[in-house]
Amino acid sequence: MNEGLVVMVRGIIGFFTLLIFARFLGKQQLSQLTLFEYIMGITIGSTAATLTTDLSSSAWSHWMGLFVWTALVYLLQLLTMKYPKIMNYVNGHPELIIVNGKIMEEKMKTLRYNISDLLEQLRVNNIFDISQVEFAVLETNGQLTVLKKSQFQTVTAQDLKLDTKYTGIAHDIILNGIIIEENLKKVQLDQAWLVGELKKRNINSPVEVHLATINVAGELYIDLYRDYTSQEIH
Amino acid sequence: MKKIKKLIFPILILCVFITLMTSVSWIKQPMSEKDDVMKYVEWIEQDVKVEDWQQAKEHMDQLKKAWEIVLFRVQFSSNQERIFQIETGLALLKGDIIAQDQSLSIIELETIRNYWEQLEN
Repeated sequence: MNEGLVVMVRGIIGFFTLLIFARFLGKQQLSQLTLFEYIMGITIGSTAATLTTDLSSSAWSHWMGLFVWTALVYLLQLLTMKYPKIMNYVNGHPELIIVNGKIMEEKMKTLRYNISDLLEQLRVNNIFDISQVEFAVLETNGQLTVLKKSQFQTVTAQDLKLDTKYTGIAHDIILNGIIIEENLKKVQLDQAWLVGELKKRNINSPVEVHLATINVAGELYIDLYRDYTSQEIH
Repeated sequence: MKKIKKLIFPILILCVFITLMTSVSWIKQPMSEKDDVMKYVEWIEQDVKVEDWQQAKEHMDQLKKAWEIVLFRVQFSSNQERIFQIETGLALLKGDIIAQDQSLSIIELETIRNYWEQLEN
């Protein structure tokens, strides 16, 4: 028995199965996962690792484990989408930690969430003085959402009654030296125009470009592979 | 149509994996004269019963070679423990034949048969 070869084949099976199952489960960001979903993710990953290296049992038994866990996670996703009560039971619900500037100690105790966790998460939200907080909500994924008191909120263009222009989304038109024709078509431009613009900037070929984007106003942003390392960085 | 195409590829890959992982029961079956493990086990049993130890030794070598061929095919879908059990069984059988011990050889042949049946579990 060639153990190295068997582990290699099992590794390929585990890797692509995990890839397919992860795509099937959706595109939730890691930061959006609840504690339960996070633990389920770890279990599925761990099962895939065992499938690869634990040769004492057949690959099929591990693969079935992986399949069952993925199917259950998918089922739970469907149920939580359809029935909010199940979602509340499985994921919990957001909890108010600060109400009208007052810390809810009893609630924190039940959530086993201590004051240093609170201060740390406030700092993550760029708040270094707790007296600036009106409301703080501990979300189901463990993140803290903060509403500052009105006198500490950031002034917006709307507050100042300033007119602003529509910014929209910039399109990538060159990525790693390759022209993205599809995106050029979206902004009704062509390759000849792009090459002309590059020439104007003394760039001989798109291959020299690491990233080029174009915004709604038609402004080009170009980053070359060639870095100006001779300039001092402070 | 695009969605169906996107689905077909991963489903095909998963089908290949499932086939590879669950194929022990049929890939252990002989594909040529040289890899018919159970045929050699039967031949050795007959040799042992008539106490033709020279013939049993020759068939034992052929059985070992047949197992090596089958092993390469089943190693991806079977588990290590079952494979080790068969290999240990073969080593013990070889010893029993060298020692010309009829009863131990019969016991070992039955054990190998049993492990062979359980290879897909």
